[in-house]
Amino acid sequence: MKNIIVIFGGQSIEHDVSIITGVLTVNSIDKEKYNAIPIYVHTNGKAYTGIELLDLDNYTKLNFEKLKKVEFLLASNALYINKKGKLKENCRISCCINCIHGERGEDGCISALMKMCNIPIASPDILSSAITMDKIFTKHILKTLKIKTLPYIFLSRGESISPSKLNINFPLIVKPATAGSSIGISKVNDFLEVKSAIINAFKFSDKVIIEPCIKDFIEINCAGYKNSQNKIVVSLCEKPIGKQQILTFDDKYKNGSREFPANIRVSLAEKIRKTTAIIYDKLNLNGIVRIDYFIYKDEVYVNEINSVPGSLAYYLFCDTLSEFTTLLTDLITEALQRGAKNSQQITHFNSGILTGWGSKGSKHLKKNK
Amino acid sequence: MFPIGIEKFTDLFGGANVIIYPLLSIGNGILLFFASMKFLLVLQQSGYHGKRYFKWLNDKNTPYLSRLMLLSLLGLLFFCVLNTCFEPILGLNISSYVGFIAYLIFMILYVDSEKTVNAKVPLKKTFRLVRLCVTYLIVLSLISFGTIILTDFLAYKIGDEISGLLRYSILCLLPLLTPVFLFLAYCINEPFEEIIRIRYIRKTKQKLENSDVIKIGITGSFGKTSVKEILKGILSQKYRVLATPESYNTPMGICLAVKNLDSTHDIFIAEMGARSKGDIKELCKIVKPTVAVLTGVNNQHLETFKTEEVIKQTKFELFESLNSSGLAFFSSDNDKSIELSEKYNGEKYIAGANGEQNFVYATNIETNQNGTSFTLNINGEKPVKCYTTLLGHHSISNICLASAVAYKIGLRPKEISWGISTLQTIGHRLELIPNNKNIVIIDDSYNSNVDGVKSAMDVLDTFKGRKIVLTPGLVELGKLENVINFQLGKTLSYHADIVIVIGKHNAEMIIQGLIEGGMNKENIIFAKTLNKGNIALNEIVKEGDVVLFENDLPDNYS
Repeated sequence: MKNIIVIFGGQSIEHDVSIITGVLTVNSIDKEKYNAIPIYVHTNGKAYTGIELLDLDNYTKLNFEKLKKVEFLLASNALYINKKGKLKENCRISCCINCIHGERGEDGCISALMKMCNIPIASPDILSSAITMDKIFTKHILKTLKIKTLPYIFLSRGESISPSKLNINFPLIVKPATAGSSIGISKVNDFLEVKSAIINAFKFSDKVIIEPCIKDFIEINCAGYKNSQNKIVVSLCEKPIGKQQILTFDDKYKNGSREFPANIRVSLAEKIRKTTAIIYDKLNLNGIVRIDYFIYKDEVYVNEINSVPGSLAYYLFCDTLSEFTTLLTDLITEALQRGAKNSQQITHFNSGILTGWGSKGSKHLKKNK
Repeated sequence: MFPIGIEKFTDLFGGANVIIYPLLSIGNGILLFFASMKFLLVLQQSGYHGKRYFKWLNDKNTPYLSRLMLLSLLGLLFFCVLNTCFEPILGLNISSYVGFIAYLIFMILYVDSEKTVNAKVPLKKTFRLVRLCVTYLIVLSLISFGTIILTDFLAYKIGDEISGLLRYSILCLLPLLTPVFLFLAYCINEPFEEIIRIRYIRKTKQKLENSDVIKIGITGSFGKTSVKEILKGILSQKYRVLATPESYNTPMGICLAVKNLDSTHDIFIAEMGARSKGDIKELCKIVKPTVAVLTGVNNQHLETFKTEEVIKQTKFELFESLNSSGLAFFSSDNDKSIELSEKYNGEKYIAGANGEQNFVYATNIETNQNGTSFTLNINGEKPVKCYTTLLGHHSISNICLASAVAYKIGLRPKEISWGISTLQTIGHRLELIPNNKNIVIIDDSYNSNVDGVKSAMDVLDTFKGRKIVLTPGLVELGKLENVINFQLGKTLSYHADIVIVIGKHNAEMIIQGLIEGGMNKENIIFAKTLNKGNIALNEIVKEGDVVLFENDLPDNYS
């Protein structure tokens, strides 16, 4: 049986949310087809595994030192258990699903780790994860795709801002450019407030982005994934109501905290879905990716792209959790196929540079004494 | 004084002899061991097959026995001469050891000269070899010990000075018997090896049974490795594939490959080779394939199969092992393969480059020095355009066969076409060797056969320019060897402009064939070794030439 690892937790401000996404995912993987292994990355940066991790109630009282410590080795698709400094191969990993939101996870770190270990991943690759993590880069890329985003100004650490540069009308939104959730975001009404908002935002990122604070807009979420037939599947549009970061199954389906499908004009909904497909295709994304939009004055703007959306945005595709199981199987199959194909890529090439190098003055490369 | 310095028989085991005996025995054991590296290599290359090992020893063309004879006789001569010369100076007892200096020098010279003979296939360090070496070293030391005791005893019995002085010269004759000693060591180890083998095979069987991979068996007289590599390349568009490496096609080869099988794999491809009846059946018992592929049948290894009918039967064992849900694939580009397909009653598919009635076939085939392009037609699906750097018509045939398997396993024609475009030339099988001298160099040096030569000639014809072929001919063809090599010469004369014949094993027949085919004598060059052939080639080759290296051989024929 193929072993599928689900990595969650992580050293990010969205650590807690990620646990919910991760546990939901592990528990939803088809147990008849795959052996799902939870891998929890603690806030201390170390990774653990064990069935204790499958119960959310355990997280507040678990002594993690007692769990099995997990390690990865370069160019080895195996899961190693670290027993007092000695590594023991536990199993071979067929595929990884990344459920770490935010820093050191969603930003391409997990994709990079998996790439170095030759493990296929059912989540976006390094480049697209890194780009979508950074709101400024995302805007640059979307601009070349002629997709609208809100106007913005950005600051790097150490840069100051003068009132004249702020040619957007107040109120404004100041937010860290790379942090994922609503943490570090503030709404400002005049220039005096801008400074403290910037200082606050810099606590979470090296770059800060300032956007106009629009009113009377509609927030719309739409997600996409690539199925095992290599086709992009786009969800219907959803209109979230309220500001909950993570919604439980009951919230999503019973408490009416969302409008699904969103009650918007068909032409707008179609435009959003088409835009989702274009972004998914052009950014060469993989796995489930959720894109958040604004509809403002009948125009569609992209707010952000989540390469690891909360609960993997399953609720945009599935009515029941058993449908999520089918969806995960499809995602894993796609990742396995992609992994098989990539493993055939030529990774070495005999340039001939190293042979005969000795005659070309290799002395110069040696360390000077 | 008594000739060898002892009074009583029991004195043989006392005094300085306590040190001298073991020292001489182990020392001589080590020397003999290093002097027989060549035999170890031959034994390993013959697949630890006693019969084949002795066949090589008996071959009139192997110079090693005469070399050993030379070593022994020279050693013996100088041993006696030295001992006799030093007798008046050093006294009888000490001078009886002086000859060992000559023996040692000749041994070192011999071992050193052996080293400089380039082994094309080096000795593979395996656990089995290490086990054999340990036993062999012990056998050699014990035999040396026995010989020393025996000579001392004889000298003691005879009791005259000459036999006392020259008694150890007998040791110089031991190298002559090393091939036999090695076989003895092999025989001692064999029961243990058998136990290890059975256990290993049982483990492999279990691992394969517990795994849920799709198991594919590929057999045929030729093209197995090519089809395996192509199939692996195409299937890898979608699946993680483990295939037996290079030409590991024996039970142990398959066991070695299965060692690397893990839960991430979807498909296991086993190349199945046969040298005699029942070989394939044995392999099938280990692998239990659900998909069987036959590339084609010719008279390769006829020497060990005896008749063509037996070859066909042996290949058919693969299909007999399939269960009712198994899939069978036959190449359409080989008559005997088609014949066997008619014999098979289960679900079967016939594929190959030609024939519109095939499950898979190719059209619009165009070959040039950059590769081949063609249109692939699969089971009435929309034809797909394909491109490959593989050379020759037979490659297209192999690709079609592999495509049929890939299609039935679940790849779409488009995916198959992508897979084909990623295929890389397999080492030494019609491989284009890049160079900066504007010379087309084709390496087809891997274990050739008659059909292989045909494909090589097809490829050669696709090129312009002067064509130079280097070949040592074909081997292991039994009674037909001479006829086939004569035919080879004739064929070469039609397609090549210059032929360099390597080694004298088949030279006579090839050259006769070349002349019969109408080639001028000045265009035929004979070279004793591959190295000499290369030197000859360097002298004549010029820009725009096409050079084909056709079939060179494992060491035991050079």
